[in-house]
Amino acid sequence: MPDIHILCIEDEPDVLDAVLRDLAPFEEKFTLTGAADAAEAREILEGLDPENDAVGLIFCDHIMPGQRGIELLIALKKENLQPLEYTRKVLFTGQADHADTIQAINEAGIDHYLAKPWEADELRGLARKLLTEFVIAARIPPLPYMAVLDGARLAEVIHDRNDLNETG
Amino acid sequence: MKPAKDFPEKSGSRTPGRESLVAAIENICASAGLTKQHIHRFTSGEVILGEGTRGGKIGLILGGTASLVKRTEEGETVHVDTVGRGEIIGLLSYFAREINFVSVHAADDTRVFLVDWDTFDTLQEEHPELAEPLGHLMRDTLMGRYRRLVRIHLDVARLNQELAAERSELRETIEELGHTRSRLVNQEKLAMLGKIVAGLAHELNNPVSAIARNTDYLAEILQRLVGLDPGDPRTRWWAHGGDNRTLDTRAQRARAAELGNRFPKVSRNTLRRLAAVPADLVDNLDASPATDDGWEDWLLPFEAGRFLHTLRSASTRIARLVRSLKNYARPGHEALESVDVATGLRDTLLILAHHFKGLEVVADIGELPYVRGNAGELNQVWTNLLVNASEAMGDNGTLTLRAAHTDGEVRVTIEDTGPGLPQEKVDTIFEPHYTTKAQGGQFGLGLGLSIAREIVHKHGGTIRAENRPEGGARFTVTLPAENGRRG
Repeated sequence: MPDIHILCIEDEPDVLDAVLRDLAPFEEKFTLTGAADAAEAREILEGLDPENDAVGLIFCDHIMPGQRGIELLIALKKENLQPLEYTRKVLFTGQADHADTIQAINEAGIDHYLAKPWEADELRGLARKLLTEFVIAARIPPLPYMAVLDGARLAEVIHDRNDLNETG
Repeated sequence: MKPAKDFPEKSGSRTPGRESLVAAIENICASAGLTKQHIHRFTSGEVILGEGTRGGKIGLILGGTASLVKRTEEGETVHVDTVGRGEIIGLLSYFAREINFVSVHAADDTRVFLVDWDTFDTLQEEHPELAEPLGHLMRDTLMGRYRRLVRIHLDVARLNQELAAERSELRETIEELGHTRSRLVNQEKLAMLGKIVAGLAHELNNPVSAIARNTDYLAEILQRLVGLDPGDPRTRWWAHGGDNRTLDTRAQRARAAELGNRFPKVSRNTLRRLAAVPADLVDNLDASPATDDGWEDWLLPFEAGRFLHTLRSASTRIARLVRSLKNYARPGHEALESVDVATGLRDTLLILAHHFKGLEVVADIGELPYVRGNAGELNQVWTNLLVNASEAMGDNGTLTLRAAHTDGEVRVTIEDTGPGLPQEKVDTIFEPHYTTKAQGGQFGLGLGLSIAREIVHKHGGTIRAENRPEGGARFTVTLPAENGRRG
């Protein structure tokens, strides 16, 4: 079973703290990591083991010192790192203009845009939905994640796959 | 063109005089008995020769005046010339044997020696003494018309020149009007925005005050609810929650890994949270818990203290921003006031802070005297210059703002480390619509610098742009200090 990571990139320490705290319920099954900027996020990603690690979800701020969020996500998409093959991405910002947003959707493959300030339930609901999608897309055995993710959805997948196995 | 002007010029220059020629012809006509048959009277407005008709007539004006009139393609009639005694009419069509080129209308009571072409020729044969004065007058008429033609060409050329000059003046005026209009619209928008922002800032004060006050009460209540005894070591964890963070995210990850080795039974979540606690608190416990539940007793007071601290510093930050926003966006008072430039610069820097992320900002704002003027307008100058500087650099570079008091004036310089100004544009950079930004850029009107210049001039100051020898651009604004008051 791979180690699935949730990576949060945010330059304001208090905001990063709050995001990590909101996502803490997932920490039981996922590795939750915070990075203060794009460079640190890169270090963390490059330190992953392609055999055992996969990134399930990236929450990324846009306006940060150094490389901006959208640019980082575009660069990562181009590099096509293996642990990032099925990663779900959320642009998480209080401030992105129209052009930024269009670029984020077209070039960086953003799955969701979350405006600050956010609600804990909204953030957790989004993480649950996207991680469920990730587990299904990456064909990771869903059973261990039934409790923290969308159990009903995963149960369906298990059922469908068993059906396929039986008929095929 | 009044042809009356032409007669005196010509009359002296000709031999024999026109008058004597006409008089000679009149005499000949009278003595030859031609008057009755060939000399006709017309009253004002009557047509003597019609344009476009095959009249086949030629005449000599003997008295009164007549208008030469030409019909345009659009059907309007245009007055071409006025002729009087001694002028031949129908001359062109006589020579060319063509239809009349213009109409001749009597302008008042007009007397004309008017005959058809054949009669004209026959009369000259029958009365050879007529031929010479008529010949002179025909030549005279042609030369007069030709002279007037040349003069008209000169007039047309001069008028064209005047027209072109007026047209380019008009174009400049229209352009200038356009700029003024854009400026006014811009000012109107800014004034409206200023009012909205100031109102909003005012409204924000209440919730911010509530957050700040309630945070303090919450701290007291929590402490009493939890019932921590001052001697309880956990009160230290509570108190240290309010410490400024010492470890960055990298160091915290390393610390969490280290703690994981020491406490193998503790979950990742607990380890991550413990990594945020100052090391001496964790390391110097008499008996370290080995489980999540055990650590929770220590982490909860620490985190409660920390979140209260975060709340407090966040509300302080909002309050500071709100104060700056209120100063910055104060609705434009028309009246002049004493303006504290230093505060205006600091507020503007704070308001624009998000614009400068990734940039190194160096602010050196000394003690400055007050300036007589309008605070909101001056803030707009700083905003335009600072935004330009930061946009010239993109995501990295150094933005330097200096403000000092020298020789009775306030001198503000704003420098960037961007590509600098194109050398050929340095002198025109304050003209409206100079912009190096792509169309539709944030301040895409290209009015920022021209507005800045206008405001600075209104305040009796100067504004200058130049490239720094080490690269990047420098803008310098000077404003006269207000007498006798120091900020």
